[in-house]
Amino acid sequence: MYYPRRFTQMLCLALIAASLSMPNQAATAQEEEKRDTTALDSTTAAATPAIVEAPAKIIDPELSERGLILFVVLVMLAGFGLLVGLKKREADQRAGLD
Amino acid sequence: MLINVISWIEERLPVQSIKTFFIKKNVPRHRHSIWYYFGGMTLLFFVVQIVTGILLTFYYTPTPEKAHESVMYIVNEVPYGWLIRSLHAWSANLMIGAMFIHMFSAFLMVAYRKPRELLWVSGALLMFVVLGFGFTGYLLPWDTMAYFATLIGTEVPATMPVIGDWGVSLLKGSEEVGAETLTRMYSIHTVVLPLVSLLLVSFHLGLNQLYGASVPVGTETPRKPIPFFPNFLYRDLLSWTLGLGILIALATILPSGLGEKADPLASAPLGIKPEWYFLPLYQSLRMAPAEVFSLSGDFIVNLLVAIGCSVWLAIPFLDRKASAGRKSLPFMVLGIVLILYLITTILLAYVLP
Repeated sequence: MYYPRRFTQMLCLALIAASLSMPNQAATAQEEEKRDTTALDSTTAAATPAIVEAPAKIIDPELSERGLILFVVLVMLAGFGLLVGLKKREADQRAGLD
Repeated sequence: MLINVISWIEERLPVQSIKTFFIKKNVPRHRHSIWYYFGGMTLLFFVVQIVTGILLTFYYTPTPEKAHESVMYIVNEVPYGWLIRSLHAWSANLMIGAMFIHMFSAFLMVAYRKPRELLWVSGALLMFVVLGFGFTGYLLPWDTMAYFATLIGTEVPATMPVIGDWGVSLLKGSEEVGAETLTRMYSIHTVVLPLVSLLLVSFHLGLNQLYGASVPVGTETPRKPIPFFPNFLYRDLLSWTLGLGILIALATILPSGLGEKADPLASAPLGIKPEWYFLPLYQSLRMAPAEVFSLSGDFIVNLLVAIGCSVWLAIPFLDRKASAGRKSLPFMVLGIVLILYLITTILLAYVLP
């Protein structure tokens, strides 16, 4: 009983660690793009948002960016859910619940 | 090191007594226990709203000239701004959905009976506050749909005698929906309602901890109750994980859109509909006849809604059988009819042109 549970816990932690260490391509690309456009000063941009020309589609984040975020966050949540589930079972056993 | 910090805190704060309180507190287990989780789920989405809302205020500018541009800036330029905005919009919908499930389950389980009357009243007040959040937040992107839907929405109280015109001017701040309306909506949305809701949520949660979860009338509890800490908390955390998963999936797969910038001089586009939680009122106003006994249909609908809201708030004091621990048939019928009416009007509003 002890070893499989510990193994699952380690697996969850490994999953979380793996998802956290994944390179965030979308953010990196955005950073590079930002460096290229020198016009926008970050301090003044926060205070007075620049007027942006309307693109053809107003909101269209890259599908890969969306997929990556979804994957990373859901893996983390699944890992967290598994950990909490195991803790719940442990606590139930300790409290003598069926 | 950590132990030293914990013991330092324990010496100064009543941590041990709080811990003992939560360990001793039990949550009953029965066949309707699943409904207990929707209160926590509503709280989770409320917290998401606060966090994402604060992040949005860093970049949003509440003026008709810059509101739309600042939202565009958030979604196109700010890193993950589109995600924060989508989380805010989806979390609002999920919070209202979870709140309605929580409220109607509490109603059908007669959880408002003595001594939990104030728990019900504070919860019902929170419902109005949450709907107020939805109404005031809708105009902020300043796109065509938001502008014209608010234009119609702010005219709703106009048919009410005495307070009608006052209500309209209170919402608009001027003759037209313009700069005054936007700053008014923004300050109500980001200052007034958050303060009121924090007070009400604290009161609601405090009472909930004091009285615990209510066992539905006529429900047997053959199983051993769960200690609140850690057993129920773990269950709550699991439901929150699921809720967050759904929220993030919706926000990333279906990000919130933004229409063209509002033009007050343009004619209203066809098919303006409010958010789904205002559709029952919208559909009722559409279905009402123009005149009934020389009274306008809109006035009658608004009056019925006002009476209905007052009755809903006072349910614990009207249902005499509840305090005796018995279910009242008329109130059960009222609850079920209300649920059916809300679902039917929402569906009709979507289906009918």
